[in-house]
Amino acid sequence: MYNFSYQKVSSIADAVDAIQKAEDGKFVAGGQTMLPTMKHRLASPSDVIDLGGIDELKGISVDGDTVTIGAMTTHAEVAASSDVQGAIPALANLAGNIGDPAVRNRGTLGGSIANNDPAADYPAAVIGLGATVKTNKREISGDEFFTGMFETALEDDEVITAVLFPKADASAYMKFENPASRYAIVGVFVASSGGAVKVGVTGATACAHRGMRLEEALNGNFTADAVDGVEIPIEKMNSDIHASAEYRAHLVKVMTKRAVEACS
Amino acid sequence: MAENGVGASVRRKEDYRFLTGKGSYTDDLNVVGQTHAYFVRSPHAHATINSIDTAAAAAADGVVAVLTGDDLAADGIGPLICGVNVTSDDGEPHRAPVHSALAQGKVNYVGDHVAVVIAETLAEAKDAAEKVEVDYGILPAVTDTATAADDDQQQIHEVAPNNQCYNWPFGDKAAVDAAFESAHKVSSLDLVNNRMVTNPMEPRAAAGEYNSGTEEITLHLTTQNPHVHRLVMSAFNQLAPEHKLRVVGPDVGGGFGVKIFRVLRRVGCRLGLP
Amino acid sequence: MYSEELVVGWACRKVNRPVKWTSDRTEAFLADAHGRDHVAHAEMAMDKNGKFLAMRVNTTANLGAYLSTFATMVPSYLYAFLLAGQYSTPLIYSEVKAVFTNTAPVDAARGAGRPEATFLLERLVDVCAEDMGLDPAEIRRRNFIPVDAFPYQTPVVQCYDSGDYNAALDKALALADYEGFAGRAEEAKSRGKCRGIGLSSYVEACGIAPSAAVGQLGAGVGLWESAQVRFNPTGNVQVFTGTHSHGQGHETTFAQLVTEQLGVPIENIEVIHGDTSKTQFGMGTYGSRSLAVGGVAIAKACEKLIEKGKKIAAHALEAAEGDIEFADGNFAIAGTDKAMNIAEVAFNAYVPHSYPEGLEPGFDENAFFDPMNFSFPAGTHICEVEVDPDTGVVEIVKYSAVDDFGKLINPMIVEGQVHGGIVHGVGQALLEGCQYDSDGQLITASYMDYAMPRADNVPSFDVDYAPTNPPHNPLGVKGCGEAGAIGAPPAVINAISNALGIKHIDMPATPENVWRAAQTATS
Repeated sequence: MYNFSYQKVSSIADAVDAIQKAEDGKFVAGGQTMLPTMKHRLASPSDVIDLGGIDELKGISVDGDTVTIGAMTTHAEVAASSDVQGAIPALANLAGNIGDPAVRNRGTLGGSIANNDPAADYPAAVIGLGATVKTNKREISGDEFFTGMFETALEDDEVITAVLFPKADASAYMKFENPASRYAIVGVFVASSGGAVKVGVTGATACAHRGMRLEEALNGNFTADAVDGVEIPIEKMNSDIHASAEYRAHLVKVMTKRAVEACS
Repeated sequence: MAENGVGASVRRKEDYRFLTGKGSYTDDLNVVGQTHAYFVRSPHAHATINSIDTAAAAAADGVVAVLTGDDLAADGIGPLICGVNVTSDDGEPHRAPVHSALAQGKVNYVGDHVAVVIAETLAEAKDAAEKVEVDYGILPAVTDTATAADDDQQQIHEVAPNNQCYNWPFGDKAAVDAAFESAHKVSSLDLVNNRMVTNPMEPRAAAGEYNSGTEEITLHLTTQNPHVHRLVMSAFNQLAPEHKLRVVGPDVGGGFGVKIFRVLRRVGCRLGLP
Repeated sequence: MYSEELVVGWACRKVNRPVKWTSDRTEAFLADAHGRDHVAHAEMAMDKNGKFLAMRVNTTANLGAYLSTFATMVPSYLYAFLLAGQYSTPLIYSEVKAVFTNTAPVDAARGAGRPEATFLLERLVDVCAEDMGLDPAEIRRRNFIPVDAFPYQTPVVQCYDSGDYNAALDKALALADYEGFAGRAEEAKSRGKCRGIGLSSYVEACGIAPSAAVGQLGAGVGLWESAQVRFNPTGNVQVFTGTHSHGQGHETTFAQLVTEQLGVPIENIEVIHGDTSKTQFGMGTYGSRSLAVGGVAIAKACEKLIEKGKKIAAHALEAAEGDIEFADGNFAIAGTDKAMNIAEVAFNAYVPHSYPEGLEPGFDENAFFDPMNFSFPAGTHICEVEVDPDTGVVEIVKYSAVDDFGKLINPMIVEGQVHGGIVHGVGQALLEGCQYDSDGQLITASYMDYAMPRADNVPSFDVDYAPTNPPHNPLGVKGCGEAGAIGAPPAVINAISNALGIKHIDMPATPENVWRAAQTATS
């Protein structure tokens, strides 16, 4: 790790102020990706601005059909929340299967989606549930938030404050884990609300995306069998030592079918 | 049977200290005046070393020394040895390239040891290691087991034509071939025994201390056999006479073969014995 | 040995300061000695009954960039000499080509050569069974070395000490409910799963090793082991061993040997190892040798103490030495209740106010033991898997191991060694694949890409034993530390091959590879 200066701020305004003044500043939430990267000397921010002291970024609330989760809420808190378990059980399950207990107790929702690892779990839920990402500047729809590998719509001084998840009639997340890292080789979040189906796919491509072909097949026929005829193009699929593009494309269908089955 | 004797599933005596954090592993040892070593390793699988410039690293904060293979050779420290001879089908011993503890003129795998930086803190050693300038001449790499000995492969060691260490036949080929000729059925199989990284829980470590009064080196190591480590370091590497070298394997967190030093082909020769 | 160790020893004198180096995990991946890495072609010739007539094996072994300490021996003597396995195959020809590559040195890794040989042989035997239309258990039975043939001279140097391979197989088949497998497979099919069962009947050579044997093979020193058993004047005992414990539990097992033999309470026994300034020269711990060789040295030192103690007790009790019997920690005059505890004897030895004339004071003996043969543990492991054909995921649903380790000193520790070994083998079979790219960059250099086995990759194991008595080992023990890693890989792969009805799948049988194999099998 290279030297850097560290500041812990207690308000969003202070966070924005600090990053604007920094030469090459970075916000840190739970630090579960950022700190290992820094330790391996693969990142060397001049300033690390810790969002952990900003109370307004924490907490979970349910208001009507919307579950609002503060950006600095940890995966463990989401997994254990009776509000989330009651409103969107698939989301609580997803959070409870991220990483290991240490990661779940430090890692946060905001940190995860801001980092936008192509194999992260939360982006699939944000897209699959049609969530809205709320920042200190604006609201961004889930579909528009994830723009590329480790890239998002966020500006440098923009802070995620919360994510608003609409409840679904039924939803499920199925993850095919990398045997080594246990990240998603493919993860599929399926949600059905009022007859409309949304599918969020992670792990398969450069970043999480909507499974439009799958949605098309499932709208009007929300059964696992409906997935069989869907052609998943392999051109954009990731390919690495753990899974080829062809295998990933196949797993997208298998995980989707299993998620649909889990919804019923 | 004695109570707690043969056949009794006695709880492990050592577990109390391990489970209560009282184990003492090499990295747990800290002494006054301790420095930290960090190795500059080759980023290339196969390359000549045209030059190493250690000046900037040596001048960096906290650096005590930056040492290379030339320093090692100048001090007469011998190369690492292989302990067992296998006679190849040409009647010659297996081909054994020289293996210096710090590379001399060439690196042969990613992670090969190019230089060592010794500094007051580990962070300073790492910072300085980045300042060691190595000019490499990159060569093609050989990585595939099945084709490594093919004629068109890059040569790695001069002493080992076709990258072959040995070809070792064993058994009565004519008799076996004859049995195959007359067999009712022959079954065959091609297979791979996959390469593994052993991964003991405790990574390797070494902590050395020199007493200039007694001229004794004490070396704590993650070792499976401290006496043999000492013998080899004395007899082959000329590190120190055996009675001036103490090797301690304190608590060690798994070995699985990764932490062995054993079976010495040439100890007798080195000691002038038959 | 490694560069870093030598460099640290040299550097601390050069800079005249203490120097410490600790590998981080990335360095460990890059520069620890790796294991295995063979490609091989194997053939078996059979008669019409499936009896093995001859075997031919051609192997290329990757030794990496330099020769590590043990590198040359692993794919040669520790590999080819194990190719007979449990079978009476009369003729074996092996050719091993060892090559250099631009990769980390390859050396011993749990089992060292023997897992490679066992994987090759036990896979080939299953292919033979398939080709002959025989059950895998039946073809093994037809070729086992019979129980009355021991000691058994194989065509590949080794002379097996003892074994009853049918006994272990029978017990394993019962433990695994082999008979009931068809029903379980049928039930799994109804859930869309392919269930398979795989056997592995391994033998290994450990307890390394007779000095004369390894000397002939090209090693320059002996592989005996040493022990010193020292009573302190207050009656407690320090046991110095030349072996080294790094997880094996020697401090307990060796203390059990001493308490059994000398009757000293176990809490009064301390086992000391691992420091050249404390212990006598010893050869260390590898090749499952510590108990089979080092344990015997301890027992022999204890015997010397008993002999000396009889002289001391006879003098103190005013009896003839021949009338002194030793049992349960007491030296007694036979047929009487006159006795001295061994602690009192030790005190007498250090405070020899009234002491046998000409006898040396002190109660402290050492012994060396050089075995006459390797030790040959053997057994049958049976793995049962369920394959999800849609994803290629393999679940090990049942694993049964029946091993012959001779006499067990501490069954709990032995079982722990078996568990650890099996998990190591399952790791090789399903998860661990070290890969370099064509430029020589290690692309599996962290736990993000190199999959280690975890608790949820394995079921609870069913472990039992079918011991035989190795005649050359005074304690009747064999080694147990490597057996699981040797027996498990072919059991797992045989089970997967069986589940999918395929000839072979290479390790690690990753989900994608299994999925592809399942596609081929069903198409």
